[in-house]
Amino acid sequence: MTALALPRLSIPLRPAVGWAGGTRVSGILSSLFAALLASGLVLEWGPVGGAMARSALVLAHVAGAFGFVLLFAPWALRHARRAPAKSQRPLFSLLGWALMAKYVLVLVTGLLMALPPALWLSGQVWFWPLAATRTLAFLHLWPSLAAAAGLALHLTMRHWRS
Amino acid sequence: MMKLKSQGRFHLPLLVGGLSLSLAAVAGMVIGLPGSPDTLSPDDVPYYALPFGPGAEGEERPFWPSRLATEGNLLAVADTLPASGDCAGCHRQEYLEWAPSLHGIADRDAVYEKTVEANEDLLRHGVQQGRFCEGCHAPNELIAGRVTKLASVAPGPASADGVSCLACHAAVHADPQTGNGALTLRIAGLGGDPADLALLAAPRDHADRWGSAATKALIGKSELCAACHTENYDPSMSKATTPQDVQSTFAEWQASWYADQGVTCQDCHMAPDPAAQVLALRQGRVAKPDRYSHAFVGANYLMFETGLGETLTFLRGGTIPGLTEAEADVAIVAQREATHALLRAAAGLELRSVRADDSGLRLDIAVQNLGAGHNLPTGVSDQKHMWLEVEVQDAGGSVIYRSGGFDAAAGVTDPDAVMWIEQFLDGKGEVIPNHLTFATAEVKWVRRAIPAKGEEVVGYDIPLPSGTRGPLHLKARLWYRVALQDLVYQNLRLETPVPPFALAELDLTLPDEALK
Repeated sequence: MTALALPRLSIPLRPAVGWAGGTRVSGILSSLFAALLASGLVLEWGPVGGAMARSALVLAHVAGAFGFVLLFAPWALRHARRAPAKSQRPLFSLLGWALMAKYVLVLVTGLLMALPPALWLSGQVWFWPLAATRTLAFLHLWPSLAAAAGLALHLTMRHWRS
Repeated sequence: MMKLKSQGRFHLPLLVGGLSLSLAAVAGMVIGLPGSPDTLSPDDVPYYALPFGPGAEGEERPFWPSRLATEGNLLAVADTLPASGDCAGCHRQEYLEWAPSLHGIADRDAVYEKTVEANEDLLRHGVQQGRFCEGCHAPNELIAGRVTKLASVAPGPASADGVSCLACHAAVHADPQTGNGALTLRIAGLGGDPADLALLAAPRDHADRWGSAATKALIGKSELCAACHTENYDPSMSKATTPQDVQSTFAEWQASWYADQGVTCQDCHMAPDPAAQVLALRQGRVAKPDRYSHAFVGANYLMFETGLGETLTFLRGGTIPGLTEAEADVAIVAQREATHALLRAAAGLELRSVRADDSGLRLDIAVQNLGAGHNLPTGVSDQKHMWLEVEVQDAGGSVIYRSGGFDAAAGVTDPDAVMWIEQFLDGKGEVIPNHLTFATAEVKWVRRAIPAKGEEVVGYDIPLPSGTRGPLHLKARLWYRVALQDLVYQNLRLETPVPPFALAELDLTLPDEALK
């Protein structure tokens, strides 16, 4: 009896030929983060009128977020292990850790916010207390904007001594 | 020129690209799945008649002669108007309390519905004049533009809701002195579709829309209730040439001990156990209830009178949407018990004095308003009335005196009974027994209602037949009835007697001095 041979999936960690400053995974993460930010801001302040449009956007936002988490968790672990050693500037390192914390906060609060809709779709009605939903929404929105600013800084700020 | 580091050069285009693509996708979604408008101008509703024109200062008044208003004088789109059933998706307990309640059936209750029809039949603009009634009983129908002779708006999910969720939770202003439905509703952008996953993820915006600062300031106050529980007639909706007070429940409360203590309508009528709340208040304990129920327990026991069988279903305007038959039965019985207990907590009877002389026996009986935070009776008092039945028996059990008897088969009360009721009179001074508001020229009390914590001592001079043997036995009952039999006959073409409810009873043996 022969074992079923599964194809090996691998996403290269090293830059592909011609790529510099990022990997395929980090590139996908950046694109996804931008898409999540945009859809989140539209949900928060945008002109999405109908319940169907809003629901579709929430579903897309949550699906994107799950994809983001799946890629981000292993990537972030590796990045956190290797990247600090390359930083020659304490301020850069500090901001890097702060960025990581913001990402984690945004993802955790998003997960908690997604619980009531997930339960609704499974036929159960359950809500966080109203005060908790206000706190969650606050901790999801503003740190995501801070993370966007932090990411821009992270990608442009020197991490070496001149 | 400063050069971006390689990470910036690599990621920033991806970030911008992701942002742009996402916004483009959202734009496509918005165009492909547009939201529906939820308000429109009265001019946009075909055949919506405005026979009464603008107000004295030229203001629009699309719901006149009801004083109900919406911000911007807009109508609601019936299809998108949030139905109370939609709210049930998440606020199930509140819905289960509300659906069987008097507020829940306010638009379907046959006594109301048939009486509105009887009124509307009196006038050419009868249907439009019926807005006066519908503003409080059917606000959803009214603001959707369905109360007009040629109604072009199809019924929406919220149309039969009665005093619906939004009637209170979208209210941003109330005028308790004016009454006649003087609420202003904020209906634009309410939303509330439970299938809206954004609402479920972040109910904060939903809570803010349905609980605006203006609504929050109003929702727990008696002023909110007063907008409908204050009713005055003037030439706009009746034949009255001078203002006639019809319902003054708010004013009665405002002048009472309860208002001084900060006890609101909601504190009793929305308490989980209204009778227990009233009994606590009778002992001076003014603590607020732990939670507020949406059962709105009041005095209309008839709508929970399960002894009427299928007639009750007819009177209630059908079954309860969203509840199984078993759930409905349980809910109606629970509200019946709560209503009975509340009514019994409101009133008392006390024998004040017994005197006898050569002409006979003199009894003074105090009729007490012990627990109602308003007059007793209150509300639509040309129908909701009470009377005192007094019976004296001799030692052998023979009835030697009776006043205020009730013929249960015919539903007729002794015409000479001591009765607390007001009467509607037409332009010729004739009594209107079936609540024809549009024909009423004057409203007058036969015997004024008893104020909160007040009492009225009623004296009976009872001639004693010679040879009457004692001890004498007194039975007294304070009866309450929500509608006159004439109204049921004339408006509903129904022969079912309206059963009365005993608010208080006295059953005692008179002292020997009763027989001189």
